[in-house]
Amino acid sequence: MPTIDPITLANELHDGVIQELSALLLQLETYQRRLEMDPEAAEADLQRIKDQTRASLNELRKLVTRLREMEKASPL
Amino acid sequence: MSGPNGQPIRILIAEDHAVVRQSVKVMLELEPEFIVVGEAKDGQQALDLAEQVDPDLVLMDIRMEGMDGVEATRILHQRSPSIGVLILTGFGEDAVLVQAVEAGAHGFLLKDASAEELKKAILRVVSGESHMTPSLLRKLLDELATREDMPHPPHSDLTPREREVLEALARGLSNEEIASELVISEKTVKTHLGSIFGKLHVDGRAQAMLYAIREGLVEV
Repeated sequence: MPTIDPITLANELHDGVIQELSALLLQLETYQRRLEMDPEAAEADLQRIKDQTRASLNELRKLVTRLREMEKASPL
Repeated sequence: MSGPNGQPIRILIAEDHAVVRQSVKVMLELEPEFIVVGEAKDGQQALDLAEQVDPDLVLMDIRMEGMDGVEATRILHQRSPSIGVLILTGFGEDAVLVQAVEAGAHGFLLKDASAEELKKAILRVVSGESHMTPSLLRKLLDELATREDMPHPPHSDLTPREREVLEALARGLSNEEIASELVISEKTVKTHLGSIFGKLHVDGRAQAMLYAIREGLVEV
């Protein structure tokens, strides 16, 4: 059973979920701005933001599952 | 640096994460003042593109595969000092921020900045000023406090007026704000700044700010 060291875990979180959350925040900023200018386009923005939030959530779940399986396979 | 006077500001984005890059682009392009003229996924690509498209400003990520943002800033600053570099970072990694300013970056901003903050920061850098997020400035200070190995050119030959301007600069004030505080014209502020940069052998506002903080000329 492969283990994951804290540095790898930190990098994985940084390159994955943290970047995606940063992107989501930028998109929410855009959405807020667009709402004033073009409500229809804003609606499309919002749909994309929801899809991406789901994708990030799934990715995070997968990581948590991997960590739990590791823990089960090699109890300290 | 060009940009104002009716022409949109030409921006190159250097960011390795595709979704973040795209999100920044969409956010910037909502503003009629901005146009994204290139997208790079690492430092080398940013340098190549900068040569081709001659942007007014590069929004530079620090952590990138291959050539990172600090190295790219250093080379870009040597090749094209008129191109503004605004570091857009996910983390305020202290030591790296100092390196980025020393490499010639004109300011930095966290990725969780609002659209309004980003806009303000870009406009400030393009108009030849610098921009530092207060929380990052704090980190910068902490990092500087641990570093005593840097050359310290003497500042005793600054005039009292120049010291006042430098202190105001280090507090993060814009030229306009400095002018208003010291009751002088913006043009005079710029003249003082030119003289200060020359005397301190620093390359622009961000480095002058670092210098003032390091020398304890200003409390932040």
